[in-house]
Order: sequence, then C-alpha cells, then structure tokens
Amino acid sequence: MKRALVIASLATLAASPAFAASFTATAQPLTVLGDVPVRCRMSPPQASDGGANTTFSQNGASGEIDFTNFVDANTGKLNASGAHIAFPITCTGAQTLTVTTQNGGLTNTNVAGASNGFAARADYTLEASWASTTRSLQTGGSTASLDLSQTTPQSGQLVLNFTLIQGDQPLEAGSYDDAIVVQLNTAQ
Amino acid sequence: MRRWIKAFSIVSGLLLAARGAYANDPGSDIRVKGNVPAVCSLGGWEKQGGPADFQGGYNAVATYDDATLAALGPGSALTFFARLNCNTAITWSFATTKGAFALDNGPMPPAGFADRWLYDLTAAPYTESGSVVGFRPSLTSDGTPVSESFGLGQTDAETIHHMGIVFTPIAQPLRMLAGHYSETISLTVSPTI
Repeated sequence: MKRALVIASLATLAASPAFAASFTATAQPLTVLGDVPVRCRMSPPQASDGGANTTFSQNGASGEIDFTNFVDANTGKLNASGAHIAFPITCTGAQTLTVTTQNGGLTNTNVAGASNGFAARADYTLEASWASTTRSLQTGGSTASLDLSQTTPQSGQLVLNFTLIQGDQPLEAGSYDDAIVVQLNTAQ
Repeated sequence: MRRWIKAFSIVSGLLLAARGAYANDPGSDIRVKGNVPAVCSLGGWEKQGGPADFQGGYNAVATYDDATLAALGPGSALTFFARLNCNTAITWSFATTKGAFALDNGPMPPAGFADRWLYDLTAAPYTESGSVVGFRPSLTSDGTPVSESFGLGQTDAETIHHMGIVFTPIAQPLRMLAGHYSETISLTVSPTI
C-alpha cells in the first residue's frame, strides 16, 4: 500500500510539466488597435456663383480676384463689386480655420495715404461660411481675422463673400491690393 | 530413480502449499488507482502574418500603424495562432467585443465620414500540418458583438495543434474619423469532461 502511494505521487509530478498552463476553461483575448490621426486637406480656391464686376484666376493653391471696372471713370468712386470664392476642405477631426485680411482693405500701393478729399483705401466686407458657422468683418485699415474653427470633423466648402463698400470719396490713382489669407490646421 | 521421484514430489508439495497460503491472505490485496484530469494547455497568441506591430502572449495586442490604416482592407489581413494541447473533448468559442474595428469614443460621423471598419473573421482548430479539425466557421461583422460556440469530440480534440484566427478588414470607402480604433476577439476553450 505504501509503495502504491509513492508510485501515484510520482505519476502526478511527471504529468504536471506537460500541462504547465493547463486550465478547465479560459478566455484568451486578442485586441486589434489603430489610431487615425486628424487630417485636414484644403483644395485650391475656385470661383463660386454670384460675383460682380470681378474675375477670378486660380494660381496653384492660391487665387486672385481682379476688378474689371474698379471705379466709375467719371466720379472716381468705387463701382459695386463683389466675388464669391470657395475652398473645398475636409478634416477628419477638430480643426482651426482662420480668414485674415492682411492690409485691412484694398490699399493704394503707390501713395502713402488719403489726401485732398481722395481716399487711398477701398474697404470691403468679408463674410466667411464654414460648417454652419458664418462670420463677417468690415475692413478698417488694419489686420482683422475671422475664426471659423470647429471641434468636429467636417467636409465641405469654406465660402468667402467679398463685397466692396461704396464710399463717398473718390479714390486716388494707383494700384490697390490686399491679401486674404485662409489658414487651416488640425486641432488635436 | 525412485528416490528422484520422491524428491520431486516433495518440491511440488511445497509449491502448492505456498500458493494456498498466498490466496487465503485478505490483507495483501493491493489496488493501484490514478486519475488523469481533463485539461487543456493553450499557449499565448502568436502572429503568423499581417502588417501590424504585435505584442504576443495571453492578452495579445496587434497595432496597425498610420500608413496601414490609411489604406486598410483585405491586404491588411492578420493571422494569429495559439498552440493547444487537450486530452479530452472540448468546446471552443470566440466572441467579439464590438463587432467592428471601431472608434472608441467620438462624435457621430457626419455625412461622408465613417467611424468603423467591418471585417471578416475566421477561427478554427488546426492540426500540426495545417488541416482544419472539424470545420472552420467564418463571419462578416456587422457592428454588433458576436459569440459563437463549437464542440469537438475527444479524438478530434487530441489532434488539435493550434487554434487559428484570421482577421480581414473590409475596405471603408468613406473618410475615417480621427481617433483610437479597437476591437477585441476572445477565444475560449473548455474541456468537456
């Protein structure tokens, strides 16, 4: 009887290593992971319907609005003019989007400032719409920005409505320009 | 000659006497018993193939990188196996946590965006030579968790060399929301005796 017990114990010990990780039931998980980063893409601008007295030309990722009849030839005052420009944008997450006027109005590049009843700056209103958000500004001679940032992914068009403000003063002769800068960044 | 026969008889008589004494002793009956429990040994997960970083083991994690996620599809299939050794009949099952390789937390996808990849999944026991033991169930996920269970007899279970899983993402034509995506597939093996 004693010998039989010894034999049984040895058998148990010998069997154990073969089932070192043995179990009666087990669940073994396998997890697949991945992180999709926030990506934003802005395509080159394109003219939208509804412009007046302007032409638009695309230049790579940028564009240019030119006035076909900037001022009345007899009065020197601004003609009613406007442009609608669209930027196709897609962002897979939160994004910051700003639209900035660099000069705060179309500024005469040939003269320093207004003189003798003539204006040297043509102001305009700029309305920007993106993802159900609309912001607008009116230029006044200094840099100004519109913030259209969103916390959610978006895909659509940033639409800029540009309208000259017809003032009472005639404009001095010269070239007038401004730059409207659209800046898009991921926010996460 | 006569003397030799006599001697032989004496020896025979001793033998018979000895047998009789042994058979009549009730305290000398020895019985040997043993019990082999129904057990299985399941090794940790190992990756057999596919474009993902992998941390193997009993709670394994496979991670797709950014570039692979950008074009996730059938070409991104992952194959895993876990060695199995059972001495009895078993039931085995697999369960999915989400039913999709899906975004953990995030907004509802706007139009044109998606927050999950569906996938094809096959799981099966295999012999050492790679033949399926029993049959190989497969499913195409639909966004809901799934749990399926299967049985194998003892003889079949003893031929299993490993359990294998193939995870094949289905390409998503929509843009994917940014964020952390995951899915967990659990394999369970249970001896049935």
